[in-house]
Amino acid sequence: MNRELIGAVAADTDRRLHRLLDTRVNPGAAARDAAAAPLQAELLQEAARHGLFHCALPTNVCTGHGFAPVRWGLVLEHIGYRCTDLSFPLLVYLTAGTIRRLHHDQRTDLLEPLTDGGRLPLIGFAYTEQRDPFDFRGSLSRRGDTITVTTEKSIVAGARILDAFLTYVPDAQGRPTAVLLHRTDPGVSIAPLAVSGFRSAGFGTVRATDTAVPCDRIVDTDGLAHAQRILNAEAAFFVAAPTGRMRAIAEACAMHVAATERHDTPLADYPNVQSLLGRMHATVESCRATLYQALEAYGEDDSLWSPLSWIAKYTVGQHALTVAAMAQRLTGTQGFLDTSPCARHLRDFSGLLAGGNPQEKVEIDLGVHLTQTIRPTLREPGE
Amino acid sequence: MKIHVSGILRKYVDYRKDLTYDAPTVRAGLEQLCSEYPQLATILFEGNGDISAVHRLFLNGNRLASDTLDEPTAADDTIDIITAIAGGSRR
Repeated sequence: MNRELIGAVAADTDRRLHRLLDTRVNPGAAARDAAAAPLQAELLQEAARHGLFHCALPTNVCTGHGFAPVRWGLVLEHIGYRCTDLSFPLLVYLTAGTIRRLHHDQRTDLLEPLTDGGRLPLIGFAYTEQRDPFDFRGSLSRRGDTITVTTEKSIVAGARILDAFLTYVPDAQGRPTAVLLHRTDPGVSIAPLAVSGFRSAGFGTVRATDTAVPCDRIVDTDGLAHAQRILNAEAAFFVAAPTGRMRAIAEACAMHVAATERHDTPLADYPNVQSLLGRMHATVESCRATLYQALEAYGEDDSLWSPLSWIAKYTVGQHALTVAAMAQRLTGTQGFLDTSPCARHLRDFSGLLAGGNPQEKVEIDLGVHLTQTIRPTLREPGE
Repeated sequence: MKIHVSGILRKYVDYRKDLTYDAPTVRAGLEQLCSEYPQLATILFEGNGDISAVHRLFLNGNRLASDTLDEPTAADDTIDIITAIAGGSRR
C-alpha cells in the first residue's frame, strides 16, 4: 500500500470531518453506549454534506465522485482511528454499501424518494432471521403492480436510525427475493433490540406485516445471491474502521505506559510491557496489511467468492478482541474504570465475530475454497 | 456419477455425503438429485432453470460454468456442490 496515499486520505478525511467527530460524535460516545442511545441520523447527513461519501459512491449518486475501493477503505479505516464510537463508521459503511449495491443493480430510481432536499438516503441491510436463509419465513405475493410483503428480520443494524432497508423475503416458491422497504411503509414496525456492542448503532427488529408496496421495489429475484454479494465482497469494508480503532488503542496504550510509573520507573521501561506493546503493534500492522491486500484486490474476484475480503474480515475479527484485551492488561485498574473505553472496545469488537459472516463460517468457506482451488493441480502426471 | 453436497446444503439431503445417480449429463444428475430431495430444487435452481449464483459446481475438481451442465458425463465422474451462504438456525 502506498504510504503517501494513506497519509493523503487521512489528511483529507480529517479536513472534512474533524469538527464533526471532535464536537458531535466523540464527546457523546460513552453516554450513548451507556444508555444504548442511537446516533442521530443528522450526524450522517452532516458527514455527507462535508463530502464524506465522495469516494464511496458512483458519480452523480448522492454527492459521489466515483467509487474508489482502496481510497474508501482507507477513509473508513481513518474514521475508525479518529472516531471513538464505532457505531458511526458502521452506519457509514452500511449506507454506502447498500446505495452502491442499488447503483450496481441499476436501481438508483429507488433512491429518489429518499433524497428529498438533497438528503443522503440512509439504507440498511435487513437479512438475519436466526434461521437458514433457505428457510426464511414470511411471504411475498404479487397482485397487479403491487406486492404484499410479510417478514421479520430479528437483528438489524441501524434499524432505529435508517430510512429504508434492503430485505430478503421468500416468494411463492420459497426463493428469497430482494426488496426495498421504507420505515414509513404501511405495516412496517421497528422494535429496539438490546445488544452488547455497537450499542449506539440503533439495533432493532424490523417487521413488515401485509405491507403493500409498488412491485418495482423488488430489487432482485435471486435475493440470496444479492445478499451474499453484500456480505462477501463488502466484508473488507466492514472491518476497515475497527482496524483503525485497533491502531488508536495501541497508540493510546503506548502513551499510557509512557506517562505511568511503577516503583519510580516508567511502565514503558519494563520489558514485559515493551513486549506486550510490541505484540500489539505487530498484531495491528498485520491486520492493516491484510486489509490493504483485500482493498487492492477488490473487484478482481467473483463478488460471491472473495477469499481475500473474507480473510481480512476473519483476521481483524480474530485479532481485534486480542488487542482490546491487551489494552485492558496494559492499563490495569484505569482500564477497568467506567471512564475508560476498554470495556466498550471489548464489547464492540465481539460483534465482529458474528457480524457480516460468522468467523467459523468464514473458516469453512475458506477451507472449501482452498480445497477446490488446489484440487485440479493434484492429478497424477500425464492424467 | 457421484454428487457430493457440502456445508449448509447437507441437511437437505439428510446429511448424506455422497449420492450416486446414473445420469448422462450434470443437469440430469442434478435433476435426479432434486427428484429425490424436492426441497433442493428451489435452492439449487433459479426460476429460469439456471443454477443459482450462490452455488459453485465442480466436475472432477474443475469448476463448471453454468452453460456446460448439458455436457456428457461418465459413470465415475464426481460433482461437488459448494455454497457460501451466511445464516444459521436455532434447533
